[in-house]
Amino acid sequence: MINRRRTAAAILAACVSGAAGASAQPPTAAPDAQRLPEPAREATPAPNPWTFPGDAGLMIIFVRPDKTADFEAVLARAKETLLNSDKAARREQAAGWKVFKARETAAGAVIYVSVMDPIVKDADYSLGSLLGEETAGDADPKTSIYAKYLQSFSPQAINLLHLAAVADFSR
Amino acid sequence: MVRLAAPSTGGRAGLVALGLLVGALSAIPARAQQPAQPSPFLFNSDAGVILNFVKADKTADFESVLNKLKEGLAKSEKPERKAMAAGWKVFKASESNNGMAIYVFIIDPVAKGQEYSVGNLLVEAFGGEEGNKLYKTYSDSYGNPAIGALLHLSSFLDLGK
Repeated sequence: MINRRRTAAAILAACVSGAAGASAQPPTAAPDAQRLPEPAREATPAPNPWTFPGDAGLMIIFVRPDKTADFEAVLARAKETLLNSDKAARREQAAGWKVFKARETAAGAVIYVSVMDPIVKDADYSLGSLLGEETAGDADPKTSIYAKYLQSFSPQAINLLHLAAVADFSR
Repeated sequence: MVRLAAPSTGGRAGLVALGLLVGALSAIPARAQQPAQPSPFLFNSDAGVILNFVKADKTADFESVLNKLKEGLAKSEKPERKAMAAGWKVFKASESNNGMAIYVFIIDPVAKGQEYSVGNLLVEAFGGEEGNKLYKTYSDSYGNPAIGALLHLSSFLDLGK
């Protein structure tokens, strides 16, 4: 028991100390893309990172502590938009989409976690796109709901993970 | 490397959402320095997320132990273990972090007051000898850092309700 507890402590300490190093790494997608001849590369559209081909998705969202009210208003608007959408896929998206607030913080940022499980395959989970659908006539760069969304992020902004199911302990 | 979020413009010029994988979570206690702190694997909120970083050549080991953990939880007669299993899912991310595979535990709902310590659960289910052996396989599969984030979550919004 003691050894395991010590291991847990070591794990967490490593986590805290090891995070900064990740920032300098280039995206892994680059090498394959760079091998393509130029015309082919230009002809291959980058996949939309806000779609999820697997089973689930996770967004870890870092929000400025003085902007949480704005961010939460954006989430409320997003929910309203999804539930009232004429598009069945949008309503289906809402059914598997939850947002949580973390007890932890990161460099002063408030952490929200968006869990999409199950995902609607090929649906766009971008809040920006969603808000854009609803507020096409409200494009004021300073006052629109979309502007509030953009302004609420801390520098870390969002981590986005595309997930494939490995195990469901309930089944 | 974790894939970073890209523009979410929806036809508008705008956001390039760049962020790094959570790691420097200020609220996670370092047990060795604060022995009175509760286990970080204890959840009293609504949900939990743990990002595990696993060596690329050890993913089979990691997954095999998780399958044993699932088996251990399933065979337990303790209602709290069944409650833990009911909300615990494991995913593998298509992204990686410095060559390490990322496995995500999503626990929703949590069994409040229960400690989601894989090592302790393995020992409880399989006894000291086998449980510790399994745990060694599990811990040996971890990269460095081992855990990228351990988040205790409160429900904020269910977009479907």
